[in-house]
Amino acid sequence: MANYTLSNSTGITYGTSCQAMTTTYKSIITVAVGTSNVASGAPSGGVVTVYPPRRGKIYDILVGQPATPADTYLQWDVMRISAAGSSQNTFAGALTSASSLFACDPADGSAIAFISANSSIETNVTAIADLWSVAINQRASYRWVAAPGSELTYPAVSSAGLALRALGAGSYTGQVSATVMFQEQ
Amino acid sequence: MRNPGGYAVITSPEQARVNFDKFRCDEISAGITEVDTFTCFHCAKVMHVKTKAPMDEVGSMCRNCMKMVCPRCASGPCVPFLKKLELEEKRFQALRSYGLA
Repeated sequence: MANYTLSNSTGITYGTSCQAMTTTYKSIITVAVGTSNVASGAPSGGVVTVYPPRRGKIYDILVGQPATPADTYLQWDVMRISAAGSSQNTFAGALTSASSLFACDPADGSAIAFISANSSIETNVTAIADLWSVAINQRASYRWVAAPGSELTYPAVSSAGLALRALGAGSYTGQVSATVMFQEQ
Repeated sequence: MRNPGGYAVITSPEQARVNFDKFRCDEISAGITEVDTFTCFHCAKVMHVKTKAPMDEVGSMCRNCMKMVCPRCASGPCVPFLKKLELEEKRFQALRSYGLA
């Protein structure tokens, strides 16, 4: 099982600027099973081949707000996504082609999952209850670590996945920073 | 809590309020606040557990699988989350074998 670390600042490195917060949710980090028709999701670098979906688990979440201190708050959550078929291409900030850089152990190689950071597209979020949710003051930072067996899991099913989202509740309009550690099985 | 399913650490430079799980709002003091969590065995929702809180406040224990569940699942049937995941994957594999997924 390979472990990967993904930060939304990585997305900035690859050209997607961090979304400023508003009163609507923004997907900061997305990890999902790709589909064979998502060019950037194929592990072979874009060639559509027999696609091996893998179950994945988020086991560590770190969030914070790199902005001038003020008294407002942000709502964070993790939602299931159903980025069906080619609509997955609508996620901005796809990083799958660079996923070999995210492995905690470089020997593990690329992640097969579809990964994106700083996406502004929210159309594929499943409208069900969140899996993890916390609203914190802008000045605070938060980290959650799962014990083995208690991770946030997504199935090895095409288009299924998880999205870490943030909502600039109150008057916060700055950027956010987040890091997610996940495992592919 | 005994055998937590994880833990959360909040670092705040001053006293603040935190809304956990959209279920409760707590005051935290300045500095580092640590909170145990468990993951609902039926829906995989992460629940933050207030120190010494009665079980009813943070969820319940399923008397069938003997695991902690969140308030949302407390009154529902016992269907472990991993079982749901397996069913979903089997369905996908079947559809895929027919060329439908």
